[in-house]
Amino acid sequence: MFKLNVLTPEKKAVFDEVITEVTVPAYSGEMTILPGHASMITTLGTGILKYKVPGRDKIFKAMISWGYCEVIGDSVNVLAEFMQLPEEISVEKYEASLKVAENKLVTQVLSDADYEQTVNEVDKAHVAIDLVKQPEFAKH
Amino acid sequence: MANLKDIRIRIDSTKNTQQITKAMKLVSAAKLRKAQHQIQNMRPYALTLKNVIADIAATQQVSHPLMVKRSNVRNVLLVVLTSDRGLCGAFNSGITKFADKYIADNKNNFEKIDFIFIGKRGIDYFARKKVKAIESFTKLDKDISYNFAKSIAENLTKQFEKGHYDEIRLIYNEFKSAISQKVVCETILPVEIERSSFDTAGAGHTAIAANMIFDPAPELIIEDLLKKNFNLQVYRAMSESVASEHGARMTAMENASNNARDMIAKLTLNYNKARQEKITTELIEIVSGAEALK
Repeated sequence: MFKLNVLTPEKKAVFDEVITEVTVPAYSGEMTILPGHASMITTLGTGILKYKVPGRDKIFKAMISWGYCEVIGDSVNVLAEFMQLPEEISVEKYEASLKVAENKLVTQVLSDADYEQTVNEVDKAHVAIDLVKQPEFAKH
Repeated sequence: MANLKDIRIRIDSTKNTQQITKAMKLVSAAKLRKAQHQIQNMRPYALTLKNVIADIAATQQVSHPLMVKRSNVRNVLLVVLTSDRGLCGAFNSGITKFADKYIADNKNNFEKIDFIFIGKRGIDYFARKKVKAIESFTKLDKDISYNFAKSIAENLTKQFEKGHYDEIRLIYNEFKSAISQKVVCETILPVEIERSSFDTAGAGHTAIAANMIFDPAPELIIEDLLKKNFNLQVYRAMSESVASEHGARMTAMENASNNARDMIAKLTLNYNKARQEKITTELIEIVSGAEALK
C-alpha cells in the first residue's frame, strides 16, 4: 500500500489517500503503479486516472488532461492540469465540442498549434464520453 | 440657513447612498472570500510544480530557452491587469500610475514597449492616453478560470519563443490582505526558478534521487513543466488581482458607508437646529404680537 496525492490548480483533489494501485495515462502509454515501484518521473497525457482503495471494491476514476506524475518512496504525487470526475462530466457538451473539433479537422487547414489543440480536444471528448457511457470499457 | 425641506431631502439621499455602499461592501466581502479560497487552493499545486522544476533543473543540469536571460533586452511586453468596474479605491489608479511611470522611465532603454491590457478600466485609461494595445481582454472577475489564463499564457509563450519580445512583464495588484494591496511588476518571462524554502505548505515533496527513471527525457519533461508553470503563474496573478479588487472595493465601500453615516449625523444636527430656530422665531413672533396688543 502506498499514498496518492492528486493536485489540480483549482483544488486538492486527493490528499494522502492510502491505495493499493493506481493507473495513469503516462507519456509512453497507460501505466499501472503497484507498491514498491522504482522512483520515477513522467508526464501524463489525456486519459483516465484510476485507483483502488483497500477494502473497497469500487475503482475510483477521473478524467485528466495533461499532468505530471512522480513516484518517490511510498508515495505517488500527481499534478493534473485538468481533472473531472465522471459525475462532473457533461456528455452533451463534449459531444458538441467533439463535433466542432472533428469538423474543423476535416474542413480547415490548421496551423501546427491549432492542429495540436484540436486533436487534444478530440482526445479529451473521446475519453470523457467513454468514461461516462462505457464505464466497463474503462475498467482494468 | 437652508430650509428644512432641503435638509430632509439631503438626509434621505445620503441614506440611500449608504444603503447601496453597505450592500456593495457585503457583496465584495463574499466575493473576496471566494477569491481568497481560490488562491489558497492553488498554492499546493503551484509550490509542488515549482519545486519539481527546480529539482530537475538542478540535479539533471538541464536548461531551457524559457529560462535563459537575454543579454540585450530591447523589446518588452507589458501585461497590465486592472478591473472592469470602478468604485474600488486606489486599485486601478495605482496600476495605471505605475504603468505610466514605467513607460516614462524606460522609454529610452528599450526599442519597443508593447501592451496587453486586461480589464476595462485599464483599457479605457490608456485609450484616453492614446497608448495602443496589441490585445485587450475584459470580464476577468466573472469567469476567471484556469483555461482563460492558459490561453493568454500560451499566447505569451509563443511570442517569447518566436523572439518578438525579450522580456515579458506583468503589472498587477498583489493580494496582501483584505485591506492592503501592493502594485507589483514581475518579470514572468524568462522564468526564474528557485526552490522555495517554505516547502511544508505543499504536498510532501522530497528531493529527487540519483537513480530516477525519467520518461520522457528530463529535457522534455522540463519543457512541459516550464510551460505549465508559466500558465499557472499567469493564473495566479489573475487570481491575486481579482482578490485584491474585491478587497479594495470592500475597504472603499466601508469608508463610504462611514462617511455617509457621519454626513447623516451632521445633517440631522443641522436639521434639528433649523427646526428649533423656526420654533423660536415663531414663539418670538407670537409673544411680540401679544405685547403689541397691550
